[in-house]
Amino acid sequence: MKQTFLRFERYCTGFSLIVACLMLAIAASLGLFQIFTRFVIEQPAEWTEVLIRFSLIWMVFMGIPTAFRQGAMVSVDVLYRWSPSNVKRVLDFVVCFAALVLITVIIWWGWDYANRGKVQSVIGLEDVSMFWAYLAMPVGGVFSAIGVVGNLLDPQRLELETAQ
Amino acid sequence: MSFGMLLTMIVCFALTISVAVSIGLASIFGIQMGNANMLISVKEMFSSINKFPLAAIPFFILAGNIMETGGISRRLVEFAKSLVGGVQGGLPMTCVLTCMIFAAVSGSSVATTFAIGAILIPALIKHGYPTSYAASLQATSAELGVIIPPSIPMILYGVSAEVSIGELFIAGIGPGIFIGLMLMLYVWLHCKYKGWGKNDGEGRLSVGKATWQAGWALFMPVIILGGIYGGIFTPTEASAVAVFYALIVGAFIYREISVKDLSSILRKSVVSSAVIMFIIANAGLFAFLITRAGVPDAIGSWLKEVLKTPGYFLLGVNMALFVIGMFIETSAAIIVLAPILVPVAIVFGIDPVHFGMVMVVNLAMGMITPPFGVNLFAACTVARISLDRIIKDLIPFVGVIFACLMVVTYLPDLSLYLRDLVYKK
Repeated sequence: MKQTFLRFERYCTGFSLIVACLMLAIAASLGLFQIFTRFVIEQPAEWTEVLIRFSLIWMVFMGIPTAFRQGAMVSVDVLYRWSPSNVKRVLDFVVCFAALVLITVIIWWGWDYANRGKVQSVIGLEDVSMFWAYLAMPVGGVFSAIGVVGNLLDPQRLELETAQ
Repeated sequence: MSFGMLLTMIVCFALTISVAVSIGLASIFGIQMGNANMLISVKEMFSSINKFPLAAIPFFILAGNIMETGGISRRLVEFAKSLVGGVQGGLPMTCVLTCMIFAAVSGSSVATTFAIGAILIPALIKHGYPTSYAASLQATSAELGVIIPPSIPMILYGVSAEVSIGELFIAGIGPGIFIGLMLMLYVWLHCKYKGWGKNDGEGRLSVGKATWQAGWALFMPVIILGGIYGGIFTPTEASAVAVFYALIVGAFIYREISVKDLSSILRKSVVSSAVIMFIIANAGLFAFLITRAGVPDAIGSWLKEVLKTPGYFLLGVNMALFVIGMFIETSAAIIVLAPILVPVAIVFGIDPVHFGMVMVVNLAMGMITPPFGVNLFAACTVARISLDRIIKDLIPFVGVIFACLMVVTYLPDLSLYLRDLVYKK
């Protein structure tokens, strides 16, 4: 059961990370393209800025599942380092529960908010509705919940590897 | 409500719940208590990160990671060594100088610790410096990463206090160079006194050769800062240019980045950026709620009442930030505190750009003060030493930075001279 879930979790988190990487690559390329349109073709595109913002928001929400999974979220872990291993396990559950509460709010209200955004169109890209931008929150939330549970079952603490 | 939010946040921090989740939960608690619509939570989270200037953060992180893999840090070490490595204590001075230069291409200090520390901490130990000294030195010097532009905390300060990021970047140059020089002076005197590092100059390259090797890397700050101040592109666009410049240098000129490296660089950058941007999203929500509850005004008028002069105000802010920096992550502290403190600073006649420098330098010190100091953790990891063993060597370094902070605080021209030169005719 545990192994099956972890395998499922690996696919999900891996998929969300690939999407996030793609979003970062697209955003960076659009940034360069924006300068290009202004100086080389001298016709600045009005849709690059909004696309950069939205692809980065997708990157954030599709990237946090991996951060949760790897225990890469920054925390003040004094208590953790000083605790005996049975207390550590209790803290693991507390941390997991806290994250799930926040994620539930993001999924539930994020979905509500995305649906309300259907009537709004994106400024700069009038054919697209804001639904697609807001959707990043509930979708990222679902993947994050899977990652959080994955980290509880098979703990990793890679906080420092990716800290800024 | 605000008190309940603060209490929730502190309890969550203590239970080792991550910074972002703690702040998020505190905000949710606040919304619930205030009987407000929970939709505010997602709306504010979204709009906190839906800002174009913030796009520079993932881009600078990505550029920094590309540079690290692309063999740029090693060349910068050789270059710094060729400049200052010849004297007694030259190796620790090399460490400071390399961090200064690396800071000019990277916006983060933990990345600087890993990139430079991996090369210089083993070298310092080999030359007979105590491990605890090497780790403290590295952690402290790497702090320059957020003071010398480009800098992630400055971007955050600019966005939350509505101050020009270009002005903040240029204001950081003076304090950054000053702190770097003071650190070099300190290690030089300390090494003379202790008799360490008499043979530090061995095996260094000539200045010409080292400059030639590091040339492409050294040209990067010129492009970034020159582009911003030449009015060619915005700081955000500059960060995108930095990504592609680093990529071209690393992949085609130095030929040290392969396609396989690229995917691991991207993955690492995504996780780092997602962590920090998720903190920003939650801290933005938190800041929105306490502003709505009128907390900044209350604190502001209280501060004006108690600290009557600008001098006392700055002193009080510095003391408070020093303590806050020990426990709270830098980006979260800036997003929550800048909107509270900057209006008061303006009333006291303090330039918001100067005030930004005080906040950034002070909170950067929080990165090397336990219990929560990301730079310390990183340096200890590289040096393979436990945190409590480096405290003794760390104290003088914190002292140097604190003295520099006082100079930055009470000598506004150090930050503002260059800014005025560029921005005001």
